[in-house]
Amino acid sequence: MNHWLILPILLPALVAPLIALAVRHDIVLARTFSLLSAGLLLVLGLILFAMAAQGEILTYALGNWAAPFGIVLVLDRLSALMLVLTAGLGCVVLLYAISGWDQRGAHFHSLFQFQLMGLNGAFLTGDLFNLFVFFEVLLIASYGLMVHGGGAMRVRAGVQYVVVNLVGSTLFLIAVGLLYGVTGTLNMADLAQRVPDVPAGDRALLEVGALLLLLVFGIKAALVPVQFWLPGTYAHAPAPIAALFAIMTKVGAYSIIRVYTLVFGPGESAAASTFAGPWLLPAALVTLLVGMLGVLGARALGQMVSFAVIGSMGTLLAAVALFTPEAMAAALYYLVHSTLAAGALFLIVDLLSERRPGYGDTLTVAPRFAQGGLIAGAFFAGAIAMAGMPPLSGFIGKLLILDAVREAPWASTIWILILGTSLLGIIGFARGGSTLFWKSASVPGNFQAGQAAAGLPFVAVGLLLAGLVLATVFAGPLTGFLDQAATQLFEPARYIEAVLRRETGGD
Amino acid sequence: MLTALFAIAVSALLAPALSARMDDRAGWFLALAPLGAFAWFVSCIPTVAVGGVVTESIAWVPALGIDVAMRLDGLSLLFALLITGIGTLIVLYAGAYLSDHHHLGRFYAYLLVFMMAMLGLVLADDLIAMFVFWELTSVASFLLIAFQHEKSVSRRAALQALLITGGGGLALLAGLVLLGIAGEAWRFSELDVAAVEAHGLYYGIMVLVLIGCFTKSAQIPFHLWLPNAMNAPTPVSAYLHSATMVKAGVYLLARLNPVMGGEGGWSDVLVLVGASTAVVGAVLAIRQTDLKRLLAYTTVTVLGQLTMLIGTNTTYGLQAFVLFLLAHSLYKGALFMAVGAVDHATGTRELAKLGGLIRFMPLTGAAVALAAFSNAGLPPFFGFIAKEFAYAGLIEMGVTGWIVTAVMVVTNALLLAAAGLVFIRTFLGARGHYPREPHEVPMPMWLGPMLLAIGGFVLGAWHHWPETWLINAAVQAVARGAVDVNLYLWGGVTPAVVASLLTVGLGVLFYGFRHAVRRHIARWRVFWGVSGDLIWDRLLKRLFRFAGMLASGWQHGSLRLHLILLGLVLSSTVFVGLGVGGEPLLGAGAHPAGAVSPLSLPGVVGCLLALAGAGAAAVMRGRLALVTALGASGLGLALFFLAVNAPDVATTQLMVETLTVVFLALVLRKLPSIPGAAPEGRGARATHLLVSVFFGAAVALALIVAVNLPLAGNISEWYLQNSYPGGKGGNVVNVILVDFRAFDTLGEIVVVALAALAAATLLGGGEHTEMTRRGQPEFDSVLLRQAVRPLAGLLVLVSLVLLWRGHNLPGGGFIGGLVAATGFILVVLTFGNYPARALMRLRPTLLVGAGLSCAVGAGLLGLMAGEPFLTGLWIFPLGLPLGTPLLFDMGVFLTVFGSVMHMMQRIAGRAT
Repeated sequence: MNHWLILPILLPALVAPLIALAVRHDIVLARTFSLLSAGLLLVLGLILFAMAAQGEILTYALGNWAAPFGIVLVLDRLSALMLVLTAGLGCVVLLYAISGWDQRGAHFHSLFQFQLMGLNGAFLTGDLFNLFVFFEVLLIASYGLMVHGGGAMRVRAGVQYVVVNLVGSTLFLIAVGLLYGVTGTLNMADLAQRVPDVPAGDRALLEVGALLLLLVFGIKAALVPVQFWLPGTYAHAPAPIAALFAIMTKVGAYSIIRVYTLVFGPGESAAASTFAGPWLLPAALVTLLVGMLGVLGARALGQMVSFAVIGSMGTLLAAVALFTPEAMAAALYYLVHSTLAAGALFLIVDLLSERRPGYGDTLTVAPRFAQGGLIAGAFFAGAIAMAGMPPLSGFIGKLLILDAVREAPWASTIWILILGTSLLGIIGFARGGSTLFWKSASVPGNFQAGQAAAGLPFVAVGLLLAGLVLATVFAGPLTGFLDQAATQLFEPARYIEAVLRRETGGD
Repeated sequence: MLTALFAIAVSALLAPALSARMDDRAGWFLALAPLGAFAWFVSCIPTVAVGGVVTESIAWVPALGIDVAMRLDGLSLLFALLITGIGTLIVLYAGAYLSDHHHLGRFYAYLLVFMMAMLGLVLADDLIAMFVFWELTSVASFLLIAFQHEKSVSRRAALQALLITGGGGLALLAGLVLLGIAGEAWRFSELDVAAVEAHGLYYGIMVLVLIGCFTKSAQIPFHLWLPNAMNAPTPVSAYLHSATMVKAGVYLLARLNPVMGGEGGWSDVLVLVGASTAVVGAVLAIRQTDLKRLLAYTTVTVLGQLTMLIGTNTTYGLQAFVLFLLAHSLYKGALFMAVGAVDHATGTRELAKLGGLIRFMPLTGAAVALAAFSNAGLPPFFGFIAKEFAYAGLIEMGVTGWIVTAVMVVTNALLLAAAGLVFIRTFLGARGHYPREPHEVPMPMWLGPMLLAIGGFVLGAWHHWPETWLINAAVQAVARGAVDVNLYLWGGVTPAVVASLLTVGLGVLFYGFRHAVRRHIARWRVFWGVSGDLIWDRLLKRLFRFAGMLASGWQHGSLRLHLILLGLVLSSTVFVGLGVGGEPLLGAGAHPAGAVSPLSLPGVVGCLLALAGAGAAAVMRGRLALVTALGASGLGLALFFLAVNAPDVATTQLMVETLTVVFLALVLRKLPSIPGAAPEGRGARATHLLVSVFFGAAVALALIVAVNLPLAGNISEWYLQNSYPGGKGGNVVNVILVDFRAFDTLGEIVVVALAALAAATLLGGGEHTEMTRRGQPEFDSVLLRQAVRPLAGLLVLVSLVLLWRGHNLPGGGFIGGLVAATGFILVVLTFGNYPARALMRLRPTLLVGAGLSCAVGAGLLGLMAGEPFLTGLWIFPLGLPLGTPLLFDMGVFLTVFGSVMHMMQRIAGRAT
């Protein structure tokens, strides 16, 4: 039994209550524990990544109850990638937050750890109901983080966020119930095995379940028409949290990838594939368009980045929707890229609004502020990445997607939309940056440097931008790994065999 | 080559620091990198001139077959020499021109980045790598145009340039990827010409590539941005917008000419667009009174002519292309730099104010004279040979060629007049009216124009040297087949010579009657009025407004509308899903034998109660009434669960409902009444009703269908069989919760704990406020005080019993925790918060923490025993089964209890 698999969930689950109870009045200790935990998670993630890179799918039966009766954790290349990404982003965001944000409300660090626990759990679990549970964990933790620091607008946006997502959770529960009713199992590998054998009379329910699940994951992934909660939420959340949320939309994308390649996947048997999959592509393309138009129309930088996140989810899911290994590899590359880019941009939004008291991140002209040049440069890099301009990783991601979809039936539509919306993104970001950094330079006066210019936030932003550069420079090895990860996803038989092999061996 | 790129990139990085340390002398150091690169490229001339190529390559994205591949052939070499050579001079020039600008370092950095990108563009053999550099030049140009970003014209011009060239770039990207696919290679040098021509998307590729090239090289109708881009500092205009970047489009056209220049209409399009651009540019140029804008429009003209020359695809035409390219870069670079020098020295660029400058600026004047001669195409300057060959090339084309030649004669005459304006009007004649006293500019500022202008003379007069070493190899790279290159100044009386003479004559006429010409042109004011600039502004404004509407349309901030949308999407999804299944939905009589019929009396009553409660909640007004109605509905459900033999679920439901009602009532009582919560119209209520019914029907239908099926699979049976032997418990629900699927439960108690924490945060008040001490009893009655004490004690006792027996009989940690909390809540309500706290002694958060630790600890014990996390370990003291699942259940108990109490204390402790 490979106990490494449980650690990414267990570690934050232990650290979070510890921080909440023992060191909650000592911010230094809380920060230390929190950072240590995040750092260890990154190390763990890398270890697991190395294990998964071997190609074997590792499993962990909780309570020693064999799947499909007990709950099982599963580590494949995709999970490992998501773990590393989560931990990396978590570390950076934490670095940013400990220079002040974490003191603006209670329980920041324990909520943060619980959030990491929820994310790691969602990426590791091999059980549909358990996925629901971890969705709940990360929802409630993210809600706590989202209203961190208070403020009327934030709480209002928080209520919207939590209500919409609670509806989503209810839906998840209904969908899981329906699927359980049809197949009698909750284990994803077992589901994958049974779905093809569902009698024709029960297919309708299966379709409903599959569609509802798509909707649930779509809510998380901000897919049109259920994307509306995102801009309000992200733009009002504390910026470091918005940066962490860059991975939250990816949970939705991850779940779609996992469930629709494994359970309802195209798989070996055609009978298994439901018609939920085909809905994904048009929805994703509309999402892309809506997001990028939003970038153009946004009135504040935070809102602009939020819309860009929606747009990037559209791009990502459009590639996913083709369900071919090549497109999937491209989508995964784009996933890594857009997580880092969105994280960096949200942090930059915060750097900006912290320095413009009274103006915040609204796209209006304001007097000059401290470190304007540095922030402008960082924004410039982040915007280039997000808009998908060369030379940063956004470009490679889009190129990979363009290349991968060229055989697809909708290829020309996808091409036109991806390229056209890139232009919208470029205009939007160029205009935003031009107003914030250039037009403002013509206004007389300076903001007094309100707070001491701490270095850590810049280190955090720099790390994320460095991540983008690395993803660009080492695009070769990275795409190599992602190719393998995508191939693994399209061999569900190996996943099923890895999860259920203990069934015969007994426990 | 990669080293050259790297060196320039490094000097770009060093530029800000260097220029902060050593002011304008930094330019001399920074010029070393391009100068070194220039020297290296010069050393490559012998290799390339005899048809050799130099290649370098490193792998980048093998998944796409993308390498950073460099290939130096004749065309690349010519461009590389221009880029690095003029680049060196520009860096020096910029140091003097912007010596007092406080962001000079940044300027150097942008300029060097651009240089690196441009060099990469012309050297790259890989389609995608070329594109990366291509876009980088757009980005660098964006930054450079907006360098003086305090001015709104600069910002606008920068955005416009980025948008047009960036948009074209995206089209180009599509074109290049398709080209790579069609040509079965990602290298320019390896594209399969036959395959490309035979490919079904040949025209698509052509259009996309042409859009990219035309936007970059400012061809009609994309020429708008170039004159506006002249708002950039002069070194930028000289370097990017006349000598190098705008030629990138032309470069790519030339590069692809061997591949695309077959019979597919490529030539016709190039000739047509190029010729129109040339005419429009020339006509617009002569209108200008600002020297720099005048030069800008002549650049548009030349770009048009270059495009056209590629399109001729004739021996002379292609030679003329290369010659003209070189000639233009030399003289236009010189002219721009000189105009910048004039501006710098006199403070104006208005033609009307200039004149007689030769007395003050003899060196600049000499450079301008030389450059203007070349520009005018007079012998023996290089420009003359270029023009001569251009005519020859056009005439070679036949009838179209003659027509185009006639057009070109007129435009060239206009160019000649423009050249005359630049030199004669500015440097000769009477002294102009200058804002400041003119003076000769420092050496770095006249050196560049001088060297370039002399170059134009030398290359023309001694034309055998360029023919052998430069032109030949470049022409071969552009042409589809081998071309015989032979330069001459005088080839006898050919039609081309006649055309040249005509041009000069017309040009002199135009210059002489320039005022009349201008007047004539000005008459078409209506025509200029609708020129692209205005359309552009309006279009962009509309686009932004539309996007803004769309963005705010989604962000109306009304949760109710969001939920309506969500409800509709959801219900439609269900119906669509059920519809597509296609099979009969309700298999008649599918009930397995022995199933419990839900039709019992308590069941029916429960259902009715639940329905009535829900209905009442929808109809009734007032917050407390709402809570009561919902409570009744929940109670009905609990009754129903009991009726279908689910005691655990029923008890839990009962407790949760009770607590919910208590909490809601308390919270609502304490909340200030919300004034005017959006008075709803009849229509809105009807909509809500419809959506609700639709939603309810959808979910109900799905569930009815679902429960109608026999449960597939053997999992529930397995649970029943293994509950006692494996989980040591008779209550299978509890065994599932604390053993089989304890991991789920662990997650859920984390959720409960977090929800309590989050709710407490929302309820406000830090840990240290005195709020919690102030709570008053809700029911201040003596009778209650007497009764509640034992009742609460009893409830706590019951909860412990429930916890203990839960493993075998209905009960368990979750229910137990809820019951215990109910007991304490009674105490709080009766005695007030403070006494309740005293009674409990422990802080609720501590209980929550202890509970979580207990549950996780129970799992860890399994881990310590070498088994997986949460594995049950059992001991049997006195035959009593004690195991870690019990410990786990205790954790659940404590967490639930603590969480409820935490919220309760916050609510009760809040001052009303």
